[in-house]
Amino acid sequence: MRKKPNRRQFLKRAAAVSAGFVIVPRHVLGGAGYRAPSDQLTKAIIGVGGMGRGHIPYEGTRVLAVCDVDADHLKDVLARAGKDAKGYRDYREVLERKDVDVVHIATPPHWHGLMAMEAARAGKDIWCEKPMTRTIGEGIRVIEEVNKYGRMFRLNTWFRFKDTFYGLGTDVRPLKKLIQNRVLGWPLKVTVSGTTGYDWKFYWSGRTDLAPSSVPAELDYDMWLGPAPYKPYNPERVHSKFRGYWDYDGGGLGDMGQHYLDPVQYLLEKDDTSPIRVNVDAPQQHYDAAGSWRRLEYTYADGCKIILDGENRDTEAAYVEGPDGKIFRGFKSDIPDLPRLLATLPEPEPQIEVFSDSIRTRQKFALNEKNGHRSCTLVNLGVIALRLGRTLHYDPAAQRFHDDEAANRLIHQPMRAPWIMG
Amino acid sequence: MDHGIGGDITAMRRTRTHAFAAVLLALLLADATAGPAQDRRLLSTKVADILARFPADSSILRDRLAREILGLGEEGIGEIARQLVPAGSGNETSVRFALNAMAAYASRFGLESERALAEKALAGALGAASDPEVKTFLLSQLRLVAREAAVRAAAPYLLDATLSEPATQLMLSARNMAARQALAVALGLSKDAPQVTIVKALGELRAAEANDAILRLANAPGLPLRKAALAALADIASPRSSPALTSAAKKARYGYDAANATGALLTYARNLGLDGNLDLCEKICKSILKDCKDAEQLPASSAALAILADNFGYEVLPHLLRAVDNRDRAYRAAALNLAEGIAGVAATRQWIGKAQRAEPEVRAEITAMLGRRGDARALPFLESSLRAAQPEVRMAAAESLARIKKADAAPDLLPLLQSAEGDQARQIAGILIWILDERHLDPIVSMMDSLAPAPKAGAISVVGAKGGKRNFEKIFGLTGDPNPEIRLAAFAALKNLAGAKDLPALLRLLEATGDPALGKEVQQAVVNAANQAEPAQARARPLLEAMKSSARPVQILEVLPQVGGDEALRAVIEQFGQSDPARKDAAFRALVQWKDPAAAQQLYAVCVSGDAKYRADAFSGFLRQIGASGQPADQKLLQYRKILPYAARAGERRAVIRAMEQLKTFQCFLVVARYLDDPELASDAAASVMRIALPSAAGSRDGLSGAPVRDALTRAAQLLKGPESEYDRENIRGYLASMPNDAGFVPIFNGIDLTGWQGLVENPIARAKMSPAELAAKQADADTRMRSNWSVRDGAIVFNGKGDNLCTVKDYGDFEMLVDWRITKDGDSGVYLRGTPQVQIWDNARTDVGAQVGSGGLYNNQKNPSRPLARVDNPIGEWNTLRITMIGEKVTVFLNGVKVVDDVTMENYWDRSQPIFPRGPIELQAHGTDLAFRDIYVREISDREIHLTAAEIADGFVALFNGRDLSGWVGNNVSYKVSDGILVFQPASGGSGNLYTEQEYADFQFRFEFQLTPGANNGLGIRAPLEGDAAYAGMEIQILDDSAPIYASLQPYQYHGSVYGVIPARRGALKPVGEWNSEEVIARGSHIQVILNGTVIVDGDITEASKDGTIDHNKHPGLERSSGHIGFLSHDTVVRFRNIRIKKR
Repeated sequence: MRKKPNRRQFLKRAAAVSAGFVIVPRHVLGGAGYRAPSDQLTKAIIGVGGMGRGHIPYEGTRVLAVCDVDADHLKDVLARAGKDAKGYRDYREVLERKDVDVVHIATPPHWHGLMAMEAARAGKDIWCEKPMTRTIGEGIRVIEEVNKYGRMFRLNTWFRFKDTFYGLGTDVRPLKKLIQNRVLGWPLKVTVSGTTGYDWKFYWSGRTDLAPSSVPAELDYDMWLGPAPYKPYNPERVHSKFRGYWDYDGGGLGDMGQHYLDPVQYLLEKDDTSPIRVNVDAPQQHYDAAGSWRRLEYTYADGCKIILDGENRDTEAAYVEGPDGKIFRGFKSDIPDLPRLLATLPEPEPQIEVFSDSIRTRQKFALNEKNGHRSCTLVNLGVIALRLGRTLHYDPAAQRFHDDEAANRLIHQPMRAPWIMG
Repeated sequence: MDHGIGGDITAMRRTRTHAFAAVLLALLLADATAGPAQDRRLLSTKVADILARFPADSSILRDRLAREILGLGEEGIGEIARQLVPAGSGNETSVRFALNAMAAYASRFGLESERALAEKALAGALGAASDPEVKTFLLSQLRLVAREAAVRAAAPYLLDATLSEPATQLMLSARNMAARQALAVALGLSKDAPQVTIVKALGELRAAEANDAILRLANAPGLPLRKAALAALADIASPRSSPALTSAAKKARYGYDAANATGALLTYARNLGLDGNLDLCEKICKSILKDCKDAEQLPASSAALAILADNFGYEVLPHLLRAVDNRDRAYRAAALNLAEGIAGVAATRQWIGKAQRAEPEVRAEITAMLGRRGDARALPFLESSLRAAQPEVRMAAAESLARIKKADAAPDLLPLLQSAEGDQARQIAGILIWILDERHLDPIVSMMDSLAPAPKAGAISVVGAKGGKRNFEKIFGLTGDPNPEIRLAAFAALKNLAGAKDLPALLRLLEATGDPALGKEVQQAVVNAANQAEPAQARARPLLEAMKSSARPVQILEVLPQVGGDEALRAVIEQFGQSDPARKDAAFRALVQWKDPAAAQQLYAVCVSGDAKYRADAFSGFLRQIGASGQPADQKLLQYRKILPYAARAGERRAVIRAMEQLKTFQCFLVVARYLDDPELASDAAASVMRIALPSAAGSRDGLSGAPVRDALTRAAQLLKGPESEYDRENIRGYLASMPNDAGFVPIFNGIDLTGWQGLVENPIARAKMSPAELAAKQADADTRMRSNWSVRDGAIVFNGKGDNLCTVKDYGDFEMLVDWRITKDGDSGVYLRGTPQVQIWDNARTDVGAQVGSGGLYNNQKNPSRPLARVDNPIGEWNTLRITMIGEKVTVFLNGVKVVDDVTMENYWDRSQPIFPRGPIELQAHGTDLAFRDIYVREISDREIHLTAAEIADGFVALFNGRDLSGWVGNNVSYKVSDGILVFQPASGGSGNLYTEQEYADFQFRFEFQLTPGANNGLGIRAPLEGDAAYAGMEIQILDDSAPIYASLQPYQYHGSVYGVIPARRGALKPVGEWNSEEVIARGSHIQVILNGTVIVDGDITEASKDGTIDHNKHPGLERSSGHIGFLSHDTVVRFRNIRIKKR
């Protein structure tokens, strides 16, 4: 019987037959038998409450470690994570394991930046849940550390490269083709609303008067809070409710914003920049609990706009519109003979759409720390504008606000010791 | 009424210059916006007034309130902060909203004095507070406005175990010298957790003055402190820290460790570079590169390379060139990714040289990097690499050329395609698909014939992907190629190439293709071709023709759902009737997959038939198709109710409940609520009931209300199960508490008997003439007859075809009603409103009587429309839903969710000379055939609620104008007329005087809409007596087209909205003449606010404004009145009013 190659040997061999060209997306290649050796990669999952459990089957990689600060979560997940998986309460012990290739970060967002930075230093590649980081400052640091240590990073949203896109009835590719070939003209306005097929999930609004309550035995609440400011425990703050509080996330915008906005950023060719202005129309927000809002409007330097219509007010809204044409929900359009036109247009530049390809070839994943940071910045700009209740002016190069000290103070939000972003 | 506008203008023209008027205007406006300067309310009252308005619904309002808070000064802000209690211990939410509003507002650029006041007041509050949670909150708000004062106030807490963290966070927000000093002082006194916090913060502030103290902690025994110290030293980046940081990293063997010693050394090196200490930066990086050899140390080496590249640019090249000799691929890649950023021809040359000497794998990696780097001077090398012996080098070169040259790389790549084998051919095809478009296909097509199978398959896939329709014939021909690879590619390409004209050829190919996988490709091409044919309704015809003679008709049956159309559906239904099981199955699958809801009724028939094999799929298919259809909610609900009896399992009933839940209507709520009694489904129904009834989002106004909703929600709360149920129950309780307490829709038929109904006695006019005794006798007779003609069966009222109408015992005025009805063949009925015929119901097949127009029209109208706007009846024997609204004389009808009567006046059939009766019974018409009615609900619309939003009703507003007549008003009922629901002042009609409310009002919120005509002048009197000039005897809020040329020289206190002669209004918020404006007048004591179209135009205090005499120098005794009538003060121009409502305060 032939001996199965061990994992490291396999990775090396796989690398030898696959120099640069894997970027050609496999859906255009077609054919069978073209399968990544991803089943040879190993992973650890940190945070296995809600999202983290979904990471177990991703890419068929082998789970070696699962980590959670809630003993009940850990017990549930160990039962289904496979025989190789060991349970941890402290993610730092997971990072010390030398046999883990990829670290999946599926904790609440206030942990994402710190864990990603530490995973990079530990030489791990990173698969991080959205929103990427809870502050703009943490995103800047993640980029720096991931690049410095030569790590591969993928953000866990995917609509810029696959799957039907909410109400659009298509994936993002045909939209990208139309836009990059300037069929709609320029600048563009993108409206994201119930009318165009989206849902703001305002049920992630927090409650404004939480009484302290006793911490359940299974939960290490101090570790759950980690770098977030200390606030007395209340079950509303943690599992499946945390999105309603600014300390950990940003309500429905935090939950869904990057899903919806990352493809928009890609379509508008804004992967390396940010808006110069954010306008907000919302009821006053609570200092601790996120609430609903009516409208957020982002404006880029070239006049492109993104409207987040929280009231679904414009029932005639196109998803994307330019001076020369509009695309509505269901990929309906005012442009005649659109399918025919699409066939004649050049394709968007290929991207790496399978993370194990990125790990193998060491080329950036389609949605990585850099463009992910910029789309997460859209979310965080919105959050800051909501919290301060005013229009913000932003310098996309310096990544600072103009003439707004309080807004700049929200770019970096201090971590609670002993947690250090440095 | 005239209070001297004309006289004033003349006087002003005589005595004042425009410039002076402008200055005066500016002064007055500034005064008006600044608010009451010496408001005499007690501070506690002012605070309570302000807090009551939180949270603000918008930023504008929040900022206004913030200005009011700041206007209270330090003492007032302290008064607010004193009301803080620990979170969760009481309802202090509005206090926190208020302080946050103030801090956020004061943190705005340019508001320096406000910021300083907020900082000072919050700092004072911090000192005065005792609870640590409250102090934490105050520290968090101070962070928005913190400078030195806040730092001084927070410094004492740096050593407090509980507060050191929030106090430190304030220091980090302030980031000033005072913060650094405070932390440095605290460091010397701190221990335990606060010490870690402080060390960390000093690092983040790069406090060099603390460096040596921190250096002493670099070997601290406790891990958190050691880690914080190393990080702080790295941040401060003093050259003195080099030995300590280097030795710590060495001790960690340059690997990952809990104290992050390696990371700290690298951060240190980076900061040295940023500070310009390049020598030390370079020395550290080089020593890391020298010392790190093991796999676990390569991340540190990568980082050292990155720092060198950042600081030394081109000079790092030797390190990078050496790095690509490493056998670790990730490390090589990190070096090559850095190389991408180092530009210049010299670097290009060096990399080309390196590539030429390197192993094939590394050469391929460098080649790929050169493509990403994008230097055109590498092109000759890349082009020559296309001929390299190693396939991975050739492929990397191909990709790089594509990156740099885009479509111009095609001539380079086509020869490569020609010679490629296997996977490589596919990959080159992939690159071509990326860079080319349809215009570039000719060279590929012309070389196709000479290609070997693999490249040829690749070429075919390129033509297919780029939609080269011109090449359909050529590719179509290749579907017969003997080589399987070519054949497969050709089949796969067809779907993008097929046009309508190609359909016959594709159908022939489909017939000839036995292989199921290839057959699927042809089927998709057939669909695409057919769907391009015109006219749309004939698209399926060629397919149906082909199916007749086909040996494999199932293949065609399978595509019909994607083509659709009536003919195709008929054919599929016919096939479903066949005995051949394969065909029958395929036809059934087609019905289930039909692209629109046209096949749903067929699936329903399958469910009814109970066919064991198909029933379950038909059931779920029906639900899916109805759910996905664009039908209105009422119609969907009828369909769901129709299928419901055929649900065979609890799971299917659950699916129907879920589908109904999506509709979120009152009627679906009722149907779902019935399942609260079903033990198997109760908890699902409870959850659905909750989701239907509660608002879709916090603050949304789409929740359901009324007595049945209240009852069902109360029951549902007890039945909810699962981990979230406590939370859900609390949401329900919260909603029930806030729900308007009106009856809402109530059932007028109990589903069991005819309680509440009676027989018909003649007509309303005849009845009105009868004596009570006569009427009672006739009524008794009618009731006896009624009981033999009308009865209740299966929850519905049924009629046996003989006798008279069924009438409600109760009379109704304005109302909204819901009723389901069903008729049999030739059926003819209707719903009488206020005892008068009728909203028509009839069998649309009866063209002899004109029934083809459909049901729902106001049949007996002669002057006003009598026909429905659309025919939307369901087939005879099926249920229909009517939703009828009647307000005043106007009727609106929805039939099955479609509006068929749009606000039409209903005429009085019994006496056409008079309008419809104001009240009367609802009647179900008897007309000689079988009829049934079910689920009859009525919501009475009280005059007090006309046009009010649910929120206003909940808030306590009542309507002052019923839209029909002047009930509730006194005074000039001649010039003020009611027309189409609008109150119009007509000066030429001969009346005189004002129109006042009957009631008096003291403090109130009064909302109304008005429409001006050019130059219009009216006024709103408040706290006015019924006699005298309301502008002086009460107060007048001016209503005026102040844009009119005749008013060009108005005094500011005459502008629209002004408290006439007392407080001037801001101009500019009126809509253009002819448009409707909405205005709110709020009177609270001496405080008067006027909000026009959302803009506050008056916000002032009449006592204050008149204490030194009024601006118009007239006496205004009315200012002293605390209560009075509200009235419209007439001048001589037409003005219209509507939606007049008030809330007493």
